[in-house]
Amino acid sequence: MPSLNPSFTPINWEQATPDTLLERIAEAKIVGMGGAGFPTAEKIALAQKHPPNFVIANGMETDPGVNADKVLLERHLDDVLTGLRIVAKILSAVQSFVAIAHERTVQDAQSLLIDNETVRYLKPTFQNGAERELIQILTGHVVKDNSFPAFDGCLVLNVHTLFAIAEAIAGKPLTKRLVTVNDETRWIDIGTPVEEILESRDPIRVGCYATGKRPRANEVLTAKVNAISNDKSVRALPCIHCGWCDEACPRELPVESLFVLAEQLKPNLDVQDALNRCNDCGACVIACPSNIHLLDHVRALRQRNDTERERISRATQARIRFDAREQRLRSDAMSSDAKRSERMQQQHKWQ
Amino acid sequence: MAVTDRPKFQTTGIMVHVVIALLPGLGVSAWFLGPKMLLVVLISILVAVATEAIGTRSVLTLRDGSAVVTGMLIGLCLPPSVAIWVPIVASVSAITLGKLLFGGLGKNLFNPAMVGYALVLIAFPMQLVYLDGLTGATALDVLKHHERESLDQLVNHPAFGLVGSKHFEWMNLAFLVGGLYLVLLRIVPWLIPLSVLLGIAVPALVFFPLGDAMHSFGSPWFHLFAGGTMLTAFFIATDPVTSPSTKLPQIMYGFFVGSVAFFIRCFGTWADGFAFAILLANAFLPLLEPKKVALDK
Repeated sequence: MPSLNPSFTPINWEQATPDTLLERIAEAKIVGMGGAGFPTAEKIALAQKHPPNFVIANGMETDPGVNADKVLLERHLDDVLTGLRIVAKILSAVQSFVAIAHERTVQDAQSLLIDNETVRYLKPTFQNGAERELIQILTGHVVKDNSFPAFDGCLVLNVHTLFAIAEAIAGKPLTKRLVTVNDETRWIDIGTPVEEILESRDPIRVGCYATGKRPRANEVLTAKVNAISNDKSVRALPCIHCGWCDEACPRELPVESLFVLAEQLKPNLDVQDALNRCNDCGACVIACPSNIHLLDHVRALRQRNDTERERISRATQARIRFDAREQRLRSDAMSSDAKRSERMQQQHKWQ
Repeated sequence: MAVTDRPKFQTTGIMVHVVIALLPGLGVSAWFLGPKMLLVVLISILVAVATEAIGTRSVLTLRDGSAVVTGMLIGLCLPPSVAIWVPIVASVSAITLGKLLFGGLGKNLFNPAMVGYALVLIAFPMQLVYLDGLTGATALDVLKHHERESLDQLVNHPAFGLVGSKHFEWMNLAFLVGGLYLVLLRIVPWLIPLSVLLGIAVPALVFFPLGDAMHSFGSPWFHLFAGGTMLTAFFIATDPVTSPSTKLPQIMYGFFVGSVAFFIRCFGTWADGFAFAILLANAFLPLLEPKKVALDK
């Protein structure tokens, strides 16, 4: 059982072994703070098995109106870089990258870099912020749709995760994070009920307006949430078919058609490919002049499709089971017939 | 945070910008055709808004501003000499038959303003002839009905202006300016107005040399600056609900509107053919852009 003691002893990371560092990251229960919430120690261990390794610090804050990454990089750039170096040391990474969407921070970072580290300014667009796209831009490597970045040795970690790693190694557990609450970014304790963070009569979204979801009952702030926002979509107007959502989609999906299908409130397995390719970036939500939360509709359609596929697969399983049983009964009946006739013949012999 | 390079607009904001862009055209129309133009436009707007509020039994549906734009477009299509009940009939039928019967904004198949305008155009044609004492008739009427005159007589007819129809060429210029404002704001996709204008100019370019004194077809410049060309190209054909949103269908749609209007002008019964061209193109929209209709599975 890992220690529940919130205060760790500081580790000197430059002298510690990779295993000690990885153990500490696992012990500190650090998860991906860019939104995935995937256990970071497991992710690093996965990438470790597939050298050569590249580490990328993702400071590409593309959620509209969110400043958590920017504020963190302004205040704690050195800690983030320390976190990056710790991960690079664990993996003995070939090259480390820092991708930042704020020009001023890039200049600050430039002076702090060492040998195999590169800092890149990228425009804050959805194409640049997503994991696979970022890997392609920085390393030129294309991660296949059916693979994962870690299997190709690429490790993309959010700057908040790196900061948390640096803190954990220095002996401080992860208890709070920077959250943008309607334009204002501040430190908030993890575990605070979201309704207490943003008190308003209007509904709120956990996350930025575009990608966030409505909170569940009694939901609390988790480490992966970077913003709490007001929900504009409650005052949505009708769709005017302007096509701006289709135009905005970085993966060129037919967003408007998906919306039309989602409004029918039934599953549609023909568009499953499009639903799989959607990476929930929320560009369509930002583009919509009528404030329709298109991502909600896409997610709902995806949910309905999942249920439908589950139902179909259960029905298929039941069919297979039923057929097998019929087969078995038939063969049993046949074999018992055969046995009986055999018995009869034997009886004849006795007589 | 720059997510897309398009400036952020709300649907209500779009409608406000459309109204602003229509103002120069409205001003020039009122200057040339008389201040009664303003009254016609005002009545159209008020009736359209009132019809929408009554029809939906709610004032909340008014906040998108689409009823104002519909009413304004109807008023701008009508000549100032009409009887007061004509804009009322046009606006009521535009909002009810053109929009509410289909399920409200975003669900209508046909451009509501054109539904209302076409209805009064067919039902009361005599009301919609421009008779303002200044020109007697518009150049488009002259082109259609003065076939016996020589080409020189025709061009020197008082209804003709510098390049287009007298007065109307200035109104068209004002609508062009307003339309370019919308294109620059990227509220209106530039392909639709461009292909509408090409759709009317290219057939005119082909047919103009074929015309003679007995039957002139009008030069491309004339067609671009006569009647409601610019108003249609920039404000009516670009209604997002009833126009395509992808590039190739936009080109086909615009060219269809422009060329059908040209052929109605030159060979049809009506002086200006844009209302019918738009309605016809609306009806063809599911063929031009299949994904725009609800995929019923």
